[in-house]
Amino acid sequence: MIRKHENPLAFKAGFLSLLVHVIFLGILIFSFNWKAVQPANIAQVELWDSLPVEKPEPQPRPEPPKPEPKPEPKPEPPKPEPKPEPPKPEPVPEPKADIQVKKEPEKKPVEKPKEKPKEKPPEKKVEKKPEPEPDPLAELKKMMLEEQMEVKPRPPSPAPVAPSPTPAESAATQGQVDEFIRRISQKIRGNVNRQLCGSGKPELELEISLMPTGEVVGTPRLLKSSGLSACDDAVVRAVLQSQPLPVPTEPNLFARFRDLRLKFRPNDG
Amino acid sequence: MMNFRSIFAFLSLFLPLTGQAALTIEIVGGAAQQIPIAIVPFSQPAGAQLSSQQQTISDIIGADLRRSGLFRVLETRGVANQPHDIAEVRYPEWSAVQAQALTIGKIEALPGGRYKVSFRLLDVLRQNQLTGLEYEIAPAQLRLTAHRIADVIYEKLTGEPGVFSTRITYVTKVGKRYSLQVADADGFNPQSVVASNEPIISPSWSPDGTSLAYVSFEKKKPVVYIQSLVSGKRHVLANYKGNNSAPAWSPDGRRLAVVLTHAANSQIYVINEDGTGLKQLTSSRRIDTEPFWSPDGQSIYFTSDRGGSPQIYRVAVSGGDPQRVTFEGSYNVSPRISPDGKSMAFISRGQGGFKVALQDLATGQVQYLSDGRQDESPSFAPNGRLILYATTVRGKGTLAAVSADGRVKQRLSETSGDVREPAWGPAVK
Repeated sequence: MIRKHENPLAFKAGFLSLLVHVIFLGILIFSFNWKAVQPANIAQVELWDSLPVEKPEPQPRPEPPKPEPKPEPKPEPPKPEPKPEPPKPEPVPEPKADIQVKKEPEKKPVEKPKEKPKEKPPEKKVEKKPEPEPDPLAELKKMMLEEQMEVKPRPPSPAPVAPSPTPAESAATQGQVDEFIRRISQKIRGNVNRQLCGSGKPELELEISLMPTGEVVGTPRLLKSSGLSACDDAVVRAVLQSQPLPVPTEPNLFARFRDLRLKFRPNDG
Repeated sequence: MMNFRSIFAFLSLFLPLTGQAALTIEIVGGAAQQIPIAIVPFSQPAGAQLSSQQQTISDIIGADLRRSGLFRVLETRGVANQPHDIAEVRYPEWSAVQAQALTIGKIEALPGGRYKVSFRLLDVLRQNQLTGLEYEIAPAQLRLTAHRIADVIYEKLTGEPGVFSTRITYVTKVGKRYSLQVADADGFNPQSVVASNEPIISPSWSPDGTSLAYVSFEKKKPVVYIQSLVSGKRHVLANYKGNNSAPAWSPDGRRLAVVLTHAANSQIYVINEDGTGLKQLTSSRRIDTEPFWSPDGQSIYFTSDRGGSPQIYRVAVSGGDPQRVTFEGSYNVSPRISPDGKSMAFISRGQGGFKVALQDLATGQVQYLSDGRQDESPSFAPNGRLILYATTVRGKGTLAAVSADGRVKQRLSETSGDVREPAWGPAVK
C-alpha cells in the first residue's frame, strides 16, 4: 500500500522538480545573450568556388546546383508554417512508434505526458499545435528547437553548400544571402594574386567587419597565416581592393554580413 | 528514468550553439596576375634632370618591375596628386586608379657633385609606409641605384629577392667578330670582356661574380680561360691535348668541372681554380659533357649518351656510379640546377623542337616552358624565378626569359648580330 502511494507521488514530485529546473534553465539561456551578434537566424555557410577565372561564366554556374532544393519551398507562401506540416506525419509517426515500442515495457501511466515532449526533439519543423499540459515548457522547447534546427545540416544538399537555412526564416531570404556570399567571394577572388603564394597549397583565414556601405572597418584581422607573409599581404590587399563589398541593403539581412570570416585557398581551383 | 534521459538528450543538443557567430565565406583560387603599382616621377634637384640613357630613375624602376611580369606599372600622369613627400600623399586619388602600392621619391643635390636619392614605398589600401631608404651616390651610379630600389620594392611585395641589380653575360657575333659581353640584367651598359675572330663559348660566372670562365678558340682549339672582371687579367685553366670545354664553377668557387678529351672521349674532370689538381670524375666509353654543380656542392649533373641517347645523369663529386635523371623523351641535355636545388632546367627535344624544360627533382615531373624550336643554354636567375636562354627569331640568335612556372615570357631586345650563350650572374650585395 505504501509503495503504491509513494510511486505516483515520487513521480509527480520528480517531474515537477524537473519541470522547474528546465524552466529555470530556459530562463537562464534566454536571459543571457549567448551569441555575440544576433540572437537568432544565424547560418554558417561554406561556399566552394572551383570555377574558371572568367567572371561572367562562373556566375550562372553555381546557381543551378543551389536552387534545386529550394524551388520547392520558394514558391510556397511566405509563412512556411502551415505547409511543412504535411511532410511531418512521415517522420513523426516513426519516433512515436519508437517511443511507443520503448515505452511499452515501462510504466504506462507515464506514457502520455512524456510522449509529447519527446516527439518534439526529432521534429524538424515548427509546430504550432497547442499542448495540453506543459504549455510554457512546450513553447520554450519550441523556441530552443528552432535555434537547434538552424545548426543542423540539411541532408540532400548539393556538394558545395553545407548547413541549411532555418525553416522558420523564409527560404527566399536564404537565397539572397547565398547570392551575396557568391558575389563577395567572386569580387575578392578577382583580386587575389596567387603568384605571390608560392607553389604549395597554403590556406589562410581573415576576419573583417563591414559597414552597411560595404566598406571594411579598419584592416582585416589575420586569423590564420598562410606561412608566407607576401601571400598574407596579397590576400589582405585583395580584400581591401574589393571595397565596397556587395552587401544587402535591407538591415536584417545586412546584419548577417556585418562580421565575416573569409577562408582562402589561393592555389586551389 | 526515461524522462531524465530524454531531457538530458534534449539538453545536449544545446552544446553546438556556443559556436561562432560570423558568416564564413570560402574563396578558392585567385584571378589577379600582377600587383598594380604606381611610381611617381622623383623630384629632381633644382636645374638638373638626372637620367641615364634617356631614362629617369622612376623610368628604370618601372621598367624593371614591369619586366618581372609580377607588376602592372600604372600610368601616373593623369593623377592630380604628384607627391614627393609622405605628407603630400592623397591616398584616395591612388586607390581611385586601382593602385595597391605607391612609390614616391626625391633626388637632392649634395656638396661635391653627389646626390641624395630617397624613396618610400607606400601601401595605398592600408595607407601606411612599407619601407623607405636613402642613398648617397655619384651621378654615374644613378642606374644602379634605380635597380636597387626596384629590388627593394620587389622583395617587399613578393617576399622574394629581386634580381634587377644583377648582370648577365652572353656572346655576340657581328660579322666575323665574336665578343663576350657583360651587361646589366636589363641589357643596358654592355661591356666587352674579350673579343676575337674565333668563337667564344660556354661562359660561366664565379659564385662571387668577380670572374668568368669561358672557352675560346683563339688558339685554334678550345681552351678554358678564367678572366677577372675587376682587373681584366686572365689565366689559362685547362689547355690539355685535345678539347678543353664546358667549365662549370663549384658553389664555393674553389674548383671547376671541365670536359677534356686528352685521354679519350669527352669526359668530366674536376680541377682547382688555379689549374692544379686535375681529377677525372667520369669514365665511360661514350661522351660525358656539360657538367653543372648542385647548389650543395655534392653532385655534378651532366649530359651523357652512355645509355644510347643523350640524357642527363648525376654523379657524386667524391666519385661513384652516375645515376640517370631524365627518363622522358629521347634527347635531354644541358642540365642547370635551380638555386634552391629543387628543380632542373634543361633542353629537351619534343613538341616540334628543342625547348627549355623544367624537371622537379623530387617527383620527376617535367614541364615544358619555352616554345621556340631551337632553344638552348638555359640559365637560372639567382632568385630561381626566371630562366634566361638563347632562342632563334627569324634566323637570328636572341635572348629570352621565361618564369619558372611558365607564366611570364619575355624576349630581350634584339641587337645587331647574333646573341648566344647567356649566363645569369649571381646576386651581389
